[in-house]
Amino acid sequence: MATITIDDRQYTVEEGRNLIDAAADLGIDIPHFCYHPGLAPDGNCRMCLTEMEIRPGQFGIVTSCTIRIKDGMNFRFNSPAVLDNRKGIMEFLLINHPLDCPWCDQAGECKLQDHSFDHGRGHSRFVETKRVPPKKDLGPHITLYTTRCILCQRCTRFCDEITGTSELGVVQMGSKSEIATFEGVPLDNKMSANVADICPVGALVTKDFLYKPRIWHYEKVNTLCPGCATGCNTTLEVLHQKIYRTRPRHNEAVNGHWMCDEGRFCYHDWQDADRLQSPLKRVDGELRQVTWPDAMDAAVSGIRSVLDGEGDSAMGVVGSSMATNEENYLLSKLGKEAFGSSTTGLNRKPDGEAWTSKSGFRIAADKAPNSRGAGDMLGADSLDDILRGIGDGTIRGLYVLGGDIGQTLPPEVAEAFGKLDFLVVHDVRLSDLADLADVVFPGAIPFEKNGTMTNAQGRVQRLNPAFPQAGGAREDGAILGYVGQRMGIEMGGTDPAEILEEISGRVEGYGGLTYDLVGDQGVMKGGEEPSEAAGG
Amino acid sequence: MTAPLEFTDAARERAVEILSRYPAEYKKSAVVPLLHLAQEEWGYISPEAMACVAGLIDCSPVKVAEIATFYPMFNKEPVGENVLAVCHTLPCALTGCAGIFDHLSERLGIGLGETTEDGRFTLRKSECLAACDRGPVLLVNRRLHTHLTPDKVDEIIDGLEEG
Repeated sequence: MATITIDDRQYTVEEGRNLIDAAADLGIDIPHFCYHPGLAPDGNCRMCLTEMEIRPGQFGIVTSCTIRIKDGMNFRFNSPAVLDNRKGIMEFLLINHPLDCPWCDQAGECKLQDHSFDHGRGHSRFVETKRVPPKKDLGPHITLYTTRCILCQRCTRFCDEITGTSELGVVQMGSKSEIATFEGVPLDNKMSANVADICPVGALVTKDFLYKPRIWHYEKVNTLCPGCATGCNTTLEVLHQKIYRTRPRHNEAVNGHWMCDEGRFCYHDWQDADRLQSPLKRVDGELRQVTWPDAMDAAVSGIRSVLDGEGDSAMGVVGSSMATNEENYLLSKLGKEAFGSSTTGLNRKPDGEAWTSKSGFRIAADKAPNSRGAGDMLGADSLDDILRGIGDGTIRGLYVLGGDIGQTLPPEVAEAFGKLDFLVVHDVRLSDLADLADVVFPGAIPFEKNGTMTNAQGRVQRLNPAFPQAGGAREDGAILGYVGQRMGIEMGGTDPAEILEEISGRVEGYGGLTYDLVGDQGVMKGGEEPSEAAGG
Repeated sequence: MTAPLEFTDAARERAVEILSRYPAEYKKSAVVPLLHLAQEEWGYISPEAMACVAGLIDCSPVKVAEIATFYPMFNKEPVGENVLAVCHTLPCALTGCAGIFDHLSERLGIGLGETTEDGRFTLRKSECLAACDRGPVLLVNRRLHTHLTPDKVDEIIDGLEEG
């Protein structure tokens, strides 16, 4: 720790910390544009200039973003020189900046607006004509409103430092300087849309979030990306039960400040999916829409007939790496207590491409968010035992959690499931898994779920619902709870927080976990330290 | 992706020599001399030439474009055999550079940024050439001419037309 002085008051802060961050820890905001905590300091925007004692009694102007805290440092944040500089910088930045705030997508979350309000003038002294360079299409996801750019170069540094793809540069000189790509080399990398998040003004915008409702109308929901086993922390912006934007939420241990484009935009696939609107029951070989009580009766009597006819272990359960820990736990409990020590399995997605950025940000090969947690809850991480049981005739019925809009059943699994006497499935759309079922319960998508998931590192993290279940769907935990009750076992509550407490007493590695402890940054299961941070 | 141009063997040899002046891990430092080489080779720096230089110093082509577009002495478009750049910064303006420019424009029959039909002259304006005490000044290719008058300008052009 180091003791420093700011405007004649003493503070204790972490030694070696960047001055902007150290001040932020103390609740003091040093205005800045080019500095971003996820990037190396650059010192180009000059907005963060403060005064520092450079010789006894003598103060000099320094860029706060490049200052590392040392014991005894003495700063002036509000001296006339500092305030005057900020005013001057603001005036320069606004020379060519258009006053199109009313229709700029950044309005309401714009640093230029904020700092203008705090440090700017009420009127412009610039009487010449503003430059109006045209907007540019930089790549598949990003448009540059060139007029709004203040050349802080966060975006170029992101592409240099984080992705290592270096598609962006500053071309031309002086007042003609512009962010640009090279002919034929668009801004097209796996993380490209992050540049819109870090752009402090409305210059870089995602095409996905162009001309959408104003940002202050959204409800913000902190949750997880369901796109892969990295489990990036995200904030959804939701209005009228619709997601408009996903943005990464800082978690140094998981995703840093970033997320990948595939994960960011995957909400469309889920939200636009053709969802199951009611339970389905197979009648005369065809799936027909039925009421919940009808479907429940059909499920329970079907399960009973398998158990009565073939013995307890004839009914197996298959969990889902799209479902929460709590849902998989309830399924495993249903298997153990209602079906009598049934065989468990996990229907995993075939691996996709793994990728690590220059800075160490990871996209996992496992494209499901909770394979690790589901495996922990079920004590199984594949379908091997289930397929063997079906093969040798010991398993005659299955209760399967589906819930992945993107997944198709491998032919050998479809063939095996086709041999079953009775199949109950939770799914979100009419998938090829649902196609084989005798009873289908319409479940929830990850954006509708409350619960925890365990990422590839073993970090247990919270999932929060953006909106209630669509149409006639129900939370999978509630469905499982009801089936359990009908089967005559005590399932306990279906509140995920209560289930997590039960899990903490029964599943290895989850001891002591509660919703409070998991919080919004997650916690390593079993107190493990992450082997490698996925962020960067 | 823009297909990079290829240097001739002679130019390639010079490029290797230029690169040898810098440590291997700081190859990028060679960007300006390599751009000069490219300009000698092809007369101007096209995107294809930028891609060629980027390949030599192992960097993204936009990083070469940053440098090439920053410096006005790199031509981004084809130019005439002789590039005439009249300084138009304040001291030269005070000593009459506007007249010099107009004289050149009239004599050559071209305007700002244009090239004569025979491809011999391109007329430009330039920022300060660091000869404020000798204005007005004119940069002809790499040679600076000072204390200009219309007569002196005619002499320079005559010399170039003959040569």
